[in-house]
Amino acid sequence: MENQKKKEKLINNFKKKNLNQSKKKLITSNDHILKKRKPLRFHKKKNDIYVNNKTNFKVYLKICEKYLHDSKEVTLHGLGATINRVCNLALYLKKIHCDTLDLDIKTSSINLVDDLEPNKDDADYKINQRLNSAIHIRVFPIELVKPLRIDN
Amino acid sequence: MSDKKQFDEYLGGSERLPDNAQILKLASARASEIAAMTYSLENPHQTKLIFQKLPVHMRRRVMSHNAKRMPRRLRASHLSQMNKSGLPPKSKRPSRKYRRRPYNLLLEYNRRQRNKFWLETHIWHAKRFQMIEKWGFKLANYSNDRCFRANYRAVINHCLIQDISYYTCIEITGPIVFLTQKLKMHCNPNELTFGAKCYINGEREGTLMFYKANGYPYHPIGYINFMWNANSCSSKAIWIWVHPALYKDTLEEIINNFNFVLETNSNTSDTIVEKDQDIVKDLQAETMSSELKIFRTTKVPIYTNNNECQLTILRNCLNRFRLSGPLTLNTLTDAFKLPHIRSKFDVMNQSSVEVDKNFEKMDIQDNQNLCEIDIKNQDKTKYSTNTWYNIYYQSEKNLETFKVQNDMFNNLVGLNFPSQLPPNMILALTVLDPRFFLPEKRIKSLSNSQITESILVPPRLANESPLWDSNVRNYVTKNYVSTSVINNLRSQSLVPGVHNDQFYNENIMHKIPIIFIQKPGNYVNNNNINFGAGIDIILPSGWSMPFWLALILRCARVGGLRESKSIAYETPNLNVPDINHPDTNAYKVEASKKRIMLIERHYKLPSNKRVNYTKLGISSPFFCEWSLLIKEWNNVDNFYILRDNHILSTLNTKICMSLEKKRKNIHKNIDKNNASIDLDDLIKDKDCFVPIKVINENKGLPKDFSIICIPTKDDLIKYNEDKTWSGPVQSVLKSENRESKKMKKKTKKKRKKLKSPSFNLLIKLNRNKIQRLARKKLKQENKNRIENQTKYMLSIDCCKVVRYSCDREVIGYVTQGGFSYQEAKGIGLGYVILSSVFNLIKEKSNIVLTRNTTTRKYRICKLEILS
Repeated sequence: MENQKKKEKLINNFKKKNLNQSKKKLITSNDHILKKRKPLRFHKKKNDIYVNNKTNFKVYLKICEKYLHDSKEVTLHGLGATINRVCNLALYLKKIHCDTLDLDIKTSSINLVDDLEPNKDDADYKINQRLNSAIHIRVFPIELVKPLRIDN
Repeated sequence: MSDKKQFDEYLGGSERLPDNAQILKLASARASEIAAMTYSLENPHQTKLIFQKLPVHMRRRVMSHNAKRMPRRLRASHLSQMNKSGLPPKSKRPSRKYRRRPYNLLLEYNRRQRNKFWLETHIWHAKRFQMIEKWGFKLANYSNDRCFRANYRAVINHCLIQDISYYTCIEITGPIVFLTQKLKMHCNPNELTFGAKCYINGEREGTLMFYKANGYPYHPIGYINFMWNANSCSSKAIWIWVHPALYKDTLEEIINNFNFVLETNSNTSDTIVEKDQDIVKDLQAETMSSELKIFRTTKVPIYTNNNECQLTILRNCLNRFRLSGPLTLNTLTDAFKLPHIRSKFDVMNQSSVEVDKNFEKMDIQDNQNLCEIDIKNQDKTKYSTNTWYNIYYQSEKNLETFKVQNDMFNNLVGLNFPSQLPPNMILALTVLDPRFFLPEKRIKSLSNSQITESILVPPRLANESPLWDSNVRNYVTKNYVSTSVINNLRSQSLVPGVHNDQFYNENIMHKIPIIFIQKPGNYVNNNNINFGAGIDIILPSGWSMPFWLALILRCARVGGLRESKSIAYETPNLNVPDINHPDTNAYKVEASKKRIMLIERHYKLPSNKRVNYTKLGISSPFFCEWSLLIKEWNNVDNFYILRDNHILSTLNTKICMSLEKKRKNIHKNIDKNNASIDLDDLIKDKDCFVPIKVINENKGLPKDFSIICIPTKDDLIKYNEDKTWSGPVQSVLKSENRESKKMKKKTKKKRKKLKSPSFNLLIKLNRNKIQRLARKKLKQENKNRIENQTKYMLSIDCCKVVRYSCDREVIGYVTQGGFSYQEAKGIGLGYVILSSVFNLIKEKSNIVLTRNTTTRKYRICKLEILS
């Protein structure tokens, strides 16, 4: 149990940290227009869920339930602003499953690329590289070990 | 005189015969009779048909309906006679078996594309798509299976492919300074032009609004794509890809501006013309020997001018496919394989060691086969003995480019989205014939979990392509090996089939130069970044089908013309060649066509099913009256569409500023500097429309031609009190049609009167007179009625008022509306008057009303400005 509490603490801390992070100002000037590129994805299996801020929270719960039922394991990925949501989702899942799920949490930083498109003839394309934090939570059921019985 | 009494006098009458007759006099008196007689002899008055006049032993009963039973000399006249009598002689449709014979089928195909052009994938499309005739082509509009949403999903999750070979490529070569200077006259001088630093080295493709020479901003033609050649000499080539709707205007403008003259002398040093003649000759020879091939007589017109510039119209010399969606890269990397090209030195050392012994025999056979083909299509150019790539990749520089391109291609495998490539990047490749790498079954290519480094900038040399060389292009096109030859190869191997295609030696496969162009997709409001991102492929002509099938077998979904419009609508991006802006010529042509079509459809309906637009207060239901609208608002005749990105984005931020401040997400990227700029300083010329997007707040879908109006203060108050309020309702207006209805009633009464018994008596007394009078009256009445009806029918088409045509003030029209899957709401794209946008900014609201042409209900919408 202590272990779990630690994990929750870690998640909560991470949330706060992320919220406190001041957003870096993007470099813009009159010569360029900023356009973001899509970040690279690691892999996309069926039970890899990339969470966004637009989709309804309950829909994600439904999807997670489905995959937990099918493949017994779900990996949630969140980037930047969605980290908060991913954490909430994982904790909520754990709660509604009465703590029969466990979480495996990993954090990483991901390279993001912005293109600066020129507006004027003399300017050329520029690139703005930045890092953003990401979280990957593997949600899996705990195998409840049956008590040993001596056959008699 | 004889004894017999003969005539009048002798019988006691008064007439007396003369003693002698003057022959001349007699003859002249009978002249007219003689003439009539000879005429009737020469032109016998026929009452019988030709077959009825045949002698009895030659008559057959079937003659009347089968012309072939007539004697041959009479057949033509017989047929014409039958035609006159209104009974066209029926010719039986030949049997399917006969029609399907390759020769007959080919004749039929050639007949059908005589006055319009077919794309190379036409037959494939024609079997599954609704084909329409447009811009001189026969193009696929939409698929016959119900797939509108499926195609949207393909763009979002999978891969959608379209054949856009109908774009025409115009090549201009010349000194670079001259070219950029002249072409600059055709663009907006304040923004990116043809000679921009980012485009000039040929690493990226550009998209621009093309204007008439010095025509900014009033005379736009349309959006075009262009790419420069990679070489860095002082003389450079540019490819301008023009949509067929704009082709004529664009070409005319370029020719006038550059003073180009058509080169008539075909014996110039240029090889293209010579080659084309060869092709024509070949084709003639082929038809003589009845060999199967669809006619493709592509003539390449060449224009030159005094400044050493040359314009070549590469119409139908290049094919272009457009793939969009996240699985594009996987599809492409699956379908195409790059050859292992080594320098000549290496090849000399390692020749014949590499060839697998098991397949050695087969290779020899293959080579023989291909040799035969080569002999058949013997080329007189320098590539006649060697294949083009052997010569091309001899030079160290080209080999280096190949290595760069090869690395780049291998790097593509690990990317998930085409939008992860640098925007508008051009990547040239030389690939092997895709027919040797077909899967046995249609298999979807999926993204793989390889992790590669993202490509930040397009690498040097990645864009250098042999496709720019007309000799290479012609060689590749001419030496196309038909699929049957490859199938023969497969059947000759020990274990026949497609399974061992991978074991064939590379030398027997053709190498085809192609070009990839990245398309970045949209970037609006952080909203689903890069929707519609994809890749365009440029192929040499003749190779469409093998590439097409290779991509289809990787489960790319196929879209038609409808899809290119729907992608632009969902994005929403008006700055594409597929969408014509109201100030362009292409728009006028299309709009007038649509108007006629809609009016015809309107009057085909029975009168009780027709919408009474006058009652609804819609003054122009089938046409957007832009010029009238601008005249009513600004009192000017000419107008243009505001396209200055800077101004549009400041306008948008101004409008967004007026939104509620709770929604911080929207403000995230607003540049605060922009907001403080005074608009009056920025925009001097206010006679223009602004491209906008309206998003329905509650219910409703804006449709085409629906009007955009300003809400009254009451409306805004009501809406602010109750956010679910659906919107005001237009009051019913008086219809002009009422009077005609009244008239109908009157005439009915009159008719009843005419039938009454007292009238009948009168009629009996003086029938003729009354009838005459009645007829006269009827004629006049009918005349009046017809005039009224035509007036009414025309009134729908000629519109006098727009701005105050209904209860709310009209500020613009929706040109493309419907349900957007991206927004999950009804949205409409359209244009509004600029001064009305200022009013909105002053009042700090972005709420407008839209009303469809068929309803009285105004719907509440939010306005956004597109840039």
